[in-house]
Parts: sequence; C-alpha cells; structure tokens
Amino acid sequence: MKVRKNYNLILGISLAGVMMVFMLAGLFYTPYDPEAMDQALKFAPASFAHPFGCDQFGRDVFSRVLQGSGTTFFVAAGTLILGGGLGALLGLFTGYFGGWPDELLMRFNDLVAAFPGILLALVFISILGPGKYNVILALGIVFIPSFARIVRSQVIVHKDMDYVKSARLMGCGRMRILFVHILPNIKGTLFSALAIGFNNAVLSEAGMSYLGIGVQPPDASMGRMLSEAQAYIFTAPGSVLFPGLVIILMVLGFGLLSDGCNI
Amino acid sequence: MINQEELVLEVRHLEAGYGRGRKYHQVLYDVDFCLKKGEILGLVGESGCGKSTLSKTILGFVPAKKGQVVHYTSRPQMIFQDPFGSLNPGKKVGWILEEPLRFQKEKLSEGQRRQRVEAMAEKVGLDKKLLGRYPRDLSGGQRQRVSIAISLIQGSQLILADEPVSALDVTIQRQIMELMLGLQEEMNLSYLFISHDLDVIYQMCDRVMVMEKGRIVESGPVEQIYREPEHPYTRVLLEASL
Repeated sequence: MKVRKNYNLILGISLAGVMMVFMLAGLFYTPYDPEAMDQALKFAPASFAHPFGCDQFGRDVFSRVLQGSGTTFFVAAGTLILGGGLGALLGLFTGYFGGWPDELLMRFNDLVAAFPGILLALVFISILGPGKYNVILALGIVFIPSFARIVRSQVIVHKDMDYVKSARLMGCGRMRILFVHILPNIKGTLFSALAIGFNNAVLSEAGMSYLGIGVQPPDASMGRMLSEAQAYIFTAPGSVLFPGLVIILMVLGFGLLSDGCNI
Repeated sequence: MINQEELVLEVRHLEAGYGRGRKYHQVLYDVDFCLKKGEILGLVGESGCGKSTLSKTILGFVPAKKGQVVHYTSRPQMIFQDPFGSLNPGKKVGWILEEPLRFQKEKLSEGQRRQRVEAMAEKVGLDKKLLGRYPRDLSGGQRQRVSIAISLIQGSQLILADEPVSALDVTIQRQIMELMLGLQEEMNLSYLFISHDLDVIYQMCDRVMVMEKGRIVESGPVEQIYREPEHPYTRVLLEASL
C-alpha cells in the first residue's frame, strides 16, 4: 500500500474520516433532541438554528441525521465484527488446512451465494423480528461467506509460496505461520474487503429500515427518515435530501478507501 | 564401506509422488544415496525430472511412499531457487533472520538474538544497514545471501540448495558460489546441490548424481563422470552443455 500519489486512498481516507467523525459524534451528541416535536417548526427551511431544516413533525433534521448515522455506524461496525471477523477466521483456517472442512464451507458458501444477500437477511429478520441487534445478526450471517471466500483464496495463494516453506523449516508452528507470516501479507485485501463490506452494510441497513423491518423507533435511521419524508419531497425536500446525501457521501468515501487499499 | 559416523544424510530406496488413489503420479523411483559430512553432492538433470521433488521429500514437504530418509543432523535447511519468493515480503530482513532463533531450544534474549543476526549477516557478506530494509529493497544476490544466512543461523550442518544460483546473473552467481564454498570449508557443512547447469555443478561439487525421469542413472566423482560418462543420458547432458 503506497500512500503517495494514491488519490483514491487520499480522497477515500479524508471523506471516510469526515463521515466517521460525523457518525461517532452521532452516537454521543445531537444539538437538539431528535424526537422533540414542535408544530411551529413544521417544514422549517434550513437556517442557522436548524442547518438541515425540520421535518413534518417539526423535528430537527440535522439532529436526526446525526443520530441516524450513529445508528448506521453501530449496525455496520457490528456487522463487520461479526461477519468480517468470523468470515476472515473461517477463511484463514479452511484455506490453510484444506480437507473436508474446506469442502463443507465452500458448498455452504455456494448455498448462501445462490440467494440474494438482502433476501436472506429479510428471511432472518422475519424469523428474529426487527430491531438493530437482529439486523446486525442477520447481516453478519449473510456477510460471513463472502469474507471467508476472499480470505481463503488469498491464503491458498500464499501458503504454497516459498517463504511459508522457509518458515516451516525455521520451526514455526502452524498458528504462527498463519497469523504472523501469512495474515500481514493479505491485510491489504482484507482492509479493502472490509471497506466494501462497510458500504454494503450501510446500504443494507438503510434499505431494510426503509422497508420498515430494520432499525426500529426510538432509534433514528436514515433509511426510515427517507421513507417517512418521501411523501413531502416537494413541500420539504430538505428532510429527504440530507439523509440521502449523507448516505451517498458515506458510501462514496468507503468505496474510494476500498479502491485505494486494493492497489 | 562408508563409516556410519560420517554420514549426515541417508536416502534408502525412496519412492514418492503427488496425488492420491487413482490420480497418484509417481515422480521418484528407487532413489538411493548417502551424503557424507563435509561433502558437496551435486544432483543434475533436466527440468521436471524430479530434482526438486527429491529435496521436498527429504525435507518432509512431500510424503515418501516407500523407502526412508534418515538425517543424522538436526534440522536440514534449504536454500530456495527464487530469491523473490523465499523471503516474507511483509517483514524486514532483520526480523526474518531473527525468526529461526525464536524457536531454538536455547532461549536467547532479544539482545543476544540481534547479536547473532548481525554476526551471521557479516559472515554472509550482508551490510548491517540492509537488516532494516524489506526484501523488496534488496537485489537478487543480496536476497540469496539472506537465504543462506537463514539456513545457517540455527547451526544446521546439512543444507539442501535447490538451484540457488539459477535466478542470478553470471557475476553474482560467481560471488554466491564462492560464498557457499567458503562457508562450507569454514563450518564443515554438507550440501546437496541441485542444478541443471553442469558448469555450476563442476565448480561446486565433489560427487555428482545424474537423474533421469525420477531415477538416478549414474553417480560418482565429478571428474570421472565428466571425463568418462557411462550412461547415454549423461552423455546427452554433457554434449548439450558444451
């Protein structure tokens, strides 16, 4: 990973960094209570006091977007820790050791890949019920195979290289070879996959919340804000525009970051 | 009769191959030889004849189907052909050289390890400054010096060298061969030196084995084999190299 002259990476890091600050801030602080309604401020346009304006109940859109992006970050991070973590571990072990667990995992992967991911997540949600923790669980499970596959293919490339044979001759144990010798060499691919996975999680969460089966009130969600506000898109475009814009910037930033990591 | 005390490696009626069941593909047939202490044994043959498979079987990377491999020294080591693939691209040279010392029975402090690494680097003619660099910053010859240092740092007496100079240009080849010969004399090492290049074998080895399609068809002192080749395949090889 060369940082110099890698404009995707530079732009990605700055954009993703700004969005990250935004999301983390949303977890802890909002200028107004995102649930506070004020009839006098109904459809108020953007102003200094309310930079994104107010929605149909007079709630401050900026506060709601801030809180919603915090929720989004929470869901996406949880999904990555669960799906990316487990998937990467599975890929490392099955790729390195091969044999029947490897076969089993790959067939299971094929099975999961045969369904569209979001559909599978919907099935899980219909079993588990909506709510942000269940969204994390559903998306996490759906994400496991893709991470396992990416990491597995990289491990298979590396495990037959001479430097791994050399490490075995030195007397390294298998775990040390896997985690100290091989893992650092595939971290570029892994980071790139994590950044893309973050995007997919953000979009899936927004999509599910838009459909009303994702994050539930009182947690704000940008997906649900979009679906609630779309009836007023011509009278008060702000409450649709800003959540949408924030989602776009988030996805753009992490997408560029992923491209940058992959070089 | 060879005195058992002097042997470092004994390979007895070895057969090995790849795949299992019906897909089994045998590569080595009845390979039988031994290597004495302080000897440089050459193994020559065309590409695909099983030279590398033999070294991998001796090291245990390929399981033996029949026969046995006995080594009388601790941990035989290997110098790889491709100096670009045999060093971990993500670690600094100093770290890589230190790694074998972390698994020795004898526990060393970090300072002691560093000292040994520096001593070994000096022995193989590697500038101390290079220890802080990554393998990609080194030339092919420098990398091969690192490989040699790795193979020797645990005190191994038996070194398998699989085409160690084939990927290098002629002047660097010369330097690496001289380095290997110097170290061999100094530390009384034994080499199994694999090459397809008869000139290199001639300059390096005491004895040579000729391999054809997984069998050793001729072996003996280098001078004798080069002067009076008996097997037709050896003659073909020698004529091709002239």
